[in-house]
Amino acid sequence: MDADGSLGSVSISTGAIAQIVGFIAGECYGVVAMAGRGGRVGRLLLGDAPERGVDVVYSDEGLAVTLHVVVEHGLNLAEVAATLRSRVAYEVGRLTGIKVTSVEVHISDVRTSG
Amino acid sequence: LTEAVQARRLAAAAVRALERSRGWIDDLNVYPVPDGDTGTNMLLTLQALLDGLEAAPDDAGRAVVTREAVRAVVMGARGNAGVILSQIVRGVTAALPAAGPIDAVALARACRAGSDAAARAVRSPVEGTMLTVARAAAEEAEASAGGTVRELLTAIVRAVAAAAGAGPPSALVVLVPDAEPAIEAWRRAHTRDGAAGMPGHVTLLYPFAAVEDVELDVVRGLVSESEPFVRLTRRLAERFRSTRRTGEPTTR
Repeated sequence: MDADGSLGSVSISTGAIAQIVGFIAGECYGVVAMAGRGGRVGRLLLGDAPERGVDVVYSDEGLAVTLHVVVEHGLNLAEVAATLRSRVAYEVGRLTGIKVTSVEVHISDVRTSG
Repeated sequence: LTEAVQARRLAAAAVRALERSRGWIDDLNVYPVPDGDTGTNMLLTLQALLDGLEAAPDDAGRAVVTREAVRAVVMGARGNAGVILSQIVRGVTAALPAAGPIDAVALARACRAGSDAAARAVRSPVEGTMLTVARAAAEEAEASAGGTVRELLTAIVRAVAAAAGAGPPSALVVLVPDAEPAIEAWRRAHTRDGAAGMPGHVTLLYPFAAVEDVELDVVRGLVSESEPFVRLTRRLAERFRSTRRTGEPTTR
């Protein structure tokens, strides 16, 4: 996604946006890990790819974001997912200036942390 | 009084207190999204907890009362604050003694368990939320567990108020109004202080001092000739004599 201007263009790749989404998800209360494709569960620790479990599709309307997350056991899953959705939509919109048309949250697993 | 009746009184008092402060908590809400509903969410969550306790039989023992409390607060949790609150309640109730009086040591242990349970459910916690306040309560509870329950509660309330009021430290800055036309929109969109209305500036010292320590004498001293920051500011002003635009920044 590019924009032309007097100095040239600025472009933000969907990969970069996916990384931003991954960092936001890691700070979100209740999210203890991201889940990759095929159900492989990653840990939100240093060294893990931040864009794991995140899909970003760009169209003329804006960004469609899909997240696959693991949530701590015993939390209200609907509320955790609702907060994650609004936080991602708000923060990605604020940071990139691009409209976020949808945020889909899939809770792939529930985990009990020690 | 039975366990169930005492627990209901406790929850009802919490609901009443939150009804009074709900409005200004709503106004404080900037995270995770500044939508002004944190106080309302916490009130709805605690009201759900109270409803759950009222549905429990009057003669229910502690095990039943705590189980009902946790079920009700988890199911009724609203918003981010409500979900965190539900985990604090879960941790606190799990650490209470199975029966008998709850003394200061047991209460301190419960505070720590509440804070720990809440902290477990997030990987990269953002400071300055309820988690920070819960941790402050736990630390004070452990430090003051030697006295009576009343002394402990007083100490916890004081520590929590200090933690909640402990805003960011102040900063010593030089405002650069000439740069404002070029950077204002960008600072508003991309920096926290810009979003909060802080104009463009050069930071000389951060953190500077606790906000409550910055009194008039301190500010007067800062602009006196002997103050090294005044000399530094003059030097900076000579070095950056003018501001000019070098091009139109663009993005989408």
